[in-house]
Amino acid sequence: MNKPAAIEPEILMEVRDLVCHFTGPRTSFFGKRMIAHAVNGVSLELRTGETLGLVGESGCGKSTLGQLILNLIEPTSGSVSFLGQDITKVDKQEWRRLRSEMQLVFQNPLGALNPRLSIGAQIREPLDIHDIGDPDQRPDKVLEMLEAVSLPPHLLERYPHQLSGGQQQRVVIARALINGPKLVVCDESVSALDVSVQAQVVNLLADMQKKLGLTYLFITHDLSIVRHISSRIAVMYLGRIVELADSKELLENPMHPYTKALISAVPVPDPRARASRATIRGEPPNPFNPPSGCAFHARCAHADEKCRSQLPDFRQIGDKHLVACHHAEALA
Amino acid sequence: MSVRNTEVKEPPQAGAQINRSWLGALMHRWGLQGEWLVTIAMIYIGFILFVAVFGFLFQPYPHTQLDLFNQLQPPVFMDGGSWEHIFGTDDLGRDVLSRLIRGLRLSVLIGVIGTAIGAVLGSFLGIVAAHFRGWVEEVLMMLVDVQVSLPFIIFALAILAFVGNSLTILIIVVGIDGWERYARLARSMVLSANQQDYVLAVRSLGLSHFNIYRRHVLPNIMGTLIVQATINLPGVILLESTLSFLGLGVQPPMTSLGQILGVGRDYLILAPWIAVLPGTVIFFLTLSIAIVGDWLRDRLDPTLQ
Repeated sequence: MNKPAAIEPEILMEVRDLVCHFTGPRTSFFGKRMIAHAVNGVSLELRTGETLGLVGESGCGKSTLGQLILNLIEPTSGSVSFLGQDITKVDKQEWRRLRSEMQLVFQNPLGALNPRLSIGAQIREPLDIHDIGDPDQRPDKVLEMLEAVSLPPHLLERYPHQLSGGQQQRVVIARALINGPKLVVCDESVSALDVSVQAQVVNLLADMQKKLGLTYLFITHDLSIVRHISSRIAVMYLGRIVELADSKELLENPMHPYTKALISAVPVPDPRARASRATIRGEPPNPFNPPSGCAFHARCAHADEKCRSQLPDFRQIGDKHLVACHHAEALA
Repeated sequence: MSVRNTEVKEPPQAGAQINRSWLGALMHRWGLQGEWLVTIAMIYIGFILFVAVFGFLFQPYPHTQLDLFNQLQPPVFMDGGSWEHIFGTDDLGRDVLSRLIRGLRLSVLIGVIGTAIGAVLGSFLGIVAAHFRGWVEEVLMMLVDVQVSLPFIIFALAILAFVGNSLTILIIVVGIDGWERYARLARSMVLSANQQDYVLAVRSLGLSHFNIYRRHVLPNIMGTLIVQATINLPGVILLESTLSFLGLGVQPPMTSLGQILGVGRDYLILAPWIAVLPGTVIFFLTLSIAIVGDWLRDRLDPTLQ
């Protein structure tokens, strides 16, 4: 979508068999600690300049995956390589240097800003941390950035709580982009905003991508947003990617029953469309005690004995369409 | 929403501007308009600090000078008082005003330094506990629980009785009082601050732990810690008074408000002014600090302005 199809884009980031466990409370006083498989064997790659949408319901591990990719939490196993370098094994200094290369944009912009520092000071902070450029010229750089995210310069002296939600998110974006990162993880970045503001922020993110050649990992639970910005979409369920394809392909031709249900849950402005909705029964499973076989089998209308006992492979079907379902061909 | 609020506040009210006295103008400048109680409390604290620092210039007699012909003379506003000893004399004929001025200096000194010791020590240990978690936190919080379950006055008496008494030891002992409150407070606030997205944000920007605490976490918890200090400061002054009252605090010839109070106890019926005057000074001082502390808490929170 953002790159001409003829050029095969280079791989910016590659994630291989990433696993992240969190230890929970003990089952009993002498028992073992429970283990939550927040991310359970994820492999994917991000190509330079693309936007990969990552969708899934709350608790499926998508935010954890985002933080793993930024190396903000340590994986239990697996590798994350950034431009060919395994960043899970870098030393402290290199880790700090990498902070300029990858950034995070949060869901709740007010929470992501220090309530006691002025907007100007917060946008400037990354420059100070990494000692970029001449200190005298940093205020100009901040002003430039403020203009780039279409905020008026008089906001520099204001405090976060004096701004509207959309303005706050623009400040967060300005702070994330001022050091010129290559990769930006947007973790539900527009979910907390009004619908009208959502569109503006999504457009801003798209503009910045064009201008700066950014790569986005766009995490959201909202398929109607992700279709606007993503070139590819990955669907996550209980710590695993269950389907991955180009946006158009995935939305028009979903193969995994979970993806189908997600897509049919998006409101369509057509009253007659209601009849054909696929629905999901039940609650998301407990990550401390994941179901055997395919994690989705308990909620899937098409599940059979094989689904209950055997974990489906993540296999390629058709053109660049990957899916983890035993019955993908039959259901497509 | 808040932007609109500040706009309403900004245009000055014409009528108020004309009638404003110099005190009113000063109050406006410090953001104290309408806060008369806070203003009075601040003036009182300022006066006490002034007396503590410069009072010796106005001290009519040396605080140890005996006037054996005028023992237990009432103050000037009571029957039998004279201008010679405005606040009367004590059992040895020492001028109560001079002793108050001298005692105030030591009480304020002990109160301020003691509070500072407790605040810095407690906050530091609280931050350490929250940062390292694990066994460090367990050990520190266990110490906190031990401190809470010990009656501090017994603890202080024990230390003073064993280690001996000097001004330095006294200040350290009263300083230790309350450290566990700062530690608990700092720990819980750092734990919750570390969960905030803005800490994760600056961490993902590559800021070091030390700078995250210095620049982001501390400024956000400082207000609460300062308020805790203002709550604790009267307690420290009272603790010094209590220890001096019990004879284990400030030793003669040095004097503090508590010590004067302790001496005055024996003459409560015969010469109530010896105990009542320092008691009144302490009462209003602790009250004023508490009022100002309360005001400060609101003032230090930018989201409440």
